[in-house]
Amino acid sequence: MGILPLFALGSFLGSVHLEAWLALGAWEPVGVVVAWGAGPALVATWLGLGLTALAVRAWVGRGRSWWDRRWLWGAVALAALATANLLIAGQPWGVVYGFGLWAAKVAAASGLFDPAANAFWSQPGHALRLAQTVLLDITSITNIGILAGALWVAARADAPNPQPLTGRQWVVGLVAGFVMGYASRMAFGCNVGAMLSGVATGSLHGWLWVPMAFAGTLIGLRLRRRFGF
Amino acid sequence: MRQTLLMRTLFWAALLVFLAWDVARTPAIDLRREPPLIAAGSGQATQGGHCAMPAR
Repeated sequence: MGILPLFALGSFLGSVHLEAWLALGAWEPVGVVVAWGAGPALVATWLGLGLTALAVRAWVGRGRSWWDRRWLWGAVALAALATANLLIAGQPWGVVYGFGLWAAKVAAASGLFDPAANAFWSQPGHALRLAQTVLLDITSITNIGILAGALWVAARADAPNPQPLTGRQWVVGLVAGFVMGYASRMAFGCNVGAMLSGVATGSLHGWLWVPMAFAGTLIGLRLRRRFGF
Repeated sequence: MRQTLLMRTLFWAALLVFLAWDVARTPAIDLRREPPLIAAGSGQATQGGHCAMPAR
C-alpha cells in the first residue's frame, strides 16, 4: 500500500519521458492479426503458447506435475475476465496507465507539471482523460477493482502475521515500486497490459516482453534474497 | 493485526478522498453521452487510456 504511490509516480514520470526514450529509436508496432488475419493469428498464438508451455516444462524438470488445479482455474478466470474487459470496454485490460493518470492529475493540479508542454499528456486523448473524472477511465476503474480484490484476499489469508519490514526493506521496496512504474511505461505496460493483453491481441510486443521480464525476474529474485524479503 | 487494519483503513480513506477531490474538480459526467454499456459492436471508439498507447 505504501509502495503504490511510488509506482504511480514512476508510471507518470515514465509517460512524461516516453517521447525522449522513443527518440532513441523505435520500431513500428507489429500486430499479427493485421498482418496475417484473425484465423492464422489465432493459430500462431496458440502455437507460441504451446511452445512456451513446453519450454517452461523443460525448465522446471520432470518432477513437477503438468497441471496445478488452482493455477489452472486462476488462468481460466483471468482469460475470461480479460475477454469480458475487451468486449465491455472495447480495449484490452491494462494497469499502469491508470496509476500514472492519477499521479499526473495530482502533479497538474499542484502546478508542478504543465501537461500542455509535454508531448505525451498534450495529446488530445490523454489531455481529455486529465480533464475528466477518473471514473470515466476504464483502466482506473479496473485498477480500483484490483486493489479491492488484493486487499480482500490479503484480509482472508490464513498466513500468520508477516514480520514488519525493516527500514532498509522499506527503502528497497519504495525504490523498486518507482522503478517498476517507470520501466513498465517504457515497456508499454506491465505483465497485464503488455504481456497478457499484448499476447492475447496478437501484438508482437507482448511476446518480446516475456523474455525481457523473465531475465529481469532472475535478477529481481536474487535482489529479494539479498535484502531478506 | 490492529496496525494492518489501521493501514488498510488509511489506504481506502486516502483513495476515497482522491476520488472525491477528482469528481469535485472535473466536469459532471454527461449521462447522455456516456460510453456504451458494451463497447464491442457499438461502433464507438473506446475512450479509456491504455499502457500500450503510443506517445503520439
